[in-house]
Amino acid sequence: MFVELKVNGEKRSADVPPETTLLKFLREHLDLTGAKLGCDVGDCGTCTVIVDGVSVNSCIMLAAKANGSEVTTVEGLANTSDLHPLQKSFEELGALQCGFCGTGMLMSAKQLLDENPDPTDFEIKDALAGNLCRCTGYTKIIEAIKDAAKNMRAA
Amino acid sequence: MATKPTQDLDQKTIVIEDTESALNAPVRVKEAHPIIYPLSLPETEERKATPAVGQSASRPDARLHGLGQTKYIDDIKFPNMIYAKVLLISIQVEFLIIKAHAHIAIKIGTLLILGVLRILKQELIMVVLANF
Repeated sequence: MFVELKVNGEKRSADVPPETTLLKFLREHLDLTGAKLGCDVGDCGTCTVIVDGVSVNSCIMLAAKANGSEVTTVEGLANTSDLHPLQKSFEELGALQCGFCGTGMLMSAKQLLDENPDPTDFEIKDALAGNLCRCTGYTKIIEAIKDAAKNMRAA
Repeated sequence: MATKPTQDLDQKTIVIEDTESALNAPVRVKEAHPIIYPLSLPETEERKATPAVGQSASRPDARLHGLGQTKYIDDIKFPNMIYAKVLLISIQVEFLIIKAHAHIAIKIGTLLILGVLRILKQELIMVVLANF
């Protein structure tokens, strides 16, 4: 099955078996390993990517369903000169420890801040409801998202 | 300053031997011990000698984590790599199936399984089972 996507602003395509998930497509066919395989059933959120402006669990979305859409992965957050404000805050405030959940967290947080530039604690927790973290206890992640939101509003 | 409340608490510790009456007794909230925290740390010689205390430290690997560039074990691929899968069917029966390319097949009785290089049963992995 021929699948063509716009990944991080670049047109990418591959011929894949029809049962290929979007996560497998990104990781194995496009070599974008930023999205991680955690539970493979949509519970843990490590595979979160943004498809047409909506954050999705790419492990339970078929690549064929995403055909023709615009996908943003964690590799597309930073550009050659600057980190995304979220990445900067996550790094500075210690929100990344082992870092396995981080890429998914960043994508969920990005979608939240795209829609809501000034989220409350409750709204941040609600946006991260689909992302599990076993290191940080979430506090630092929430702090980092608030910090990034502040920086993005000021910019 | 810091030791004073502890001393107060120690003096008020009551040993209750009768557990039943202790359970039925009304819960009493202990007196509040106001602790005054210094707002600014005094610049002692010890503090000057350890400037890292009280500073936030960033992890050296956080940059790569945030960029999605850290390579975890699942992100690494080698040519002709084979995959192992543990099937815990019950505590008694345990298999380790090592998967390879589809042209390799293994025969169990009359069943032909494609792509399986080897099946290791519990007898071969005694080290793991010794923990049960």
